[in-house]
Amino acid sequence: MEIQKPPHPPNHLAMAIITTIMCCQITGIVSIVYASQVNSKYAVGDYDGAIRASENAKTWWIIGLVLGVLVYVGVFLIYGLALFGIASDTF
Amino acid sequence: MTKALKIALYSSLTSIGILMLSLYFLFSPEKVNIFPKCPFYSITNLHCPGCGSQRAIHAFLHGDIWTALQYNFLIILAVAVLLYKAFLWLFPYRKKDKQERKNILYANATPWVVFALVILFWFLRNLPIEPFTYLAP
Repeated sequence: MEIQKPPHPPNHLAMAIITTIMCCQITGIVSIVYASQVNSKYAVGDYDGAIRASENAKTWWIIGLVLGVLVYVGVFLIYGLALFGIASDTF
Repeated sequence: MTKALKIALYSSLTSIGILMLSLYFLFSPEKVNIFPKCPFYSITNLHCPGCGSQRAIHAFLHGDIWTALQYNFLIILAVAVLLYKAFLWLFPYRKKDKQERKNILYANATPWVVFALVILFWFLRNLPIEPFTYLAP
């Protein structure tokens, strides 16, 4: 008798690659490693472990994305305000 | 998460995305310094796997695909994975026996291949020798 397999938890590989390329290599690579754990744990039947690895993979790419967005907002604010200052001086 | 919160989150993310893309279309990261520099490059003077992607997006949005790829070859990987996911989402079942398609991204080896590619790319693009200098942004 075979037990019904639960569905494969998402391994977030796509978002891991995108955060690696776009902003944050470190968290993106951690996320890729967790993605590999999702697959290997699911393959040996450790379904709970696979779900936990999936959560970790998700957490790490979100951390990367949030860090990236914070850096962006900071830089845009600084340069945006500086540009605004220059513009209001000249006109 | 409630449904209203989800809609608010997704719509704000979409508008941020469109705003960012139009900024990258209008301004070249090489000429204007409103875009953040890579912190890894600023500290170590080495290229990271993501260096060059802002310039690549600018070139890509102007239709200059070959220039974009020369800034960062890993973009191919990201685009390929996204296209594959879109394909699975559109056609989840095989035509001949109506079986669900196997997702290659869920194979044991795939994340390790991606991991190896990223690390290899990171290492090689910093080598100052002839064939590898093309990988640098």
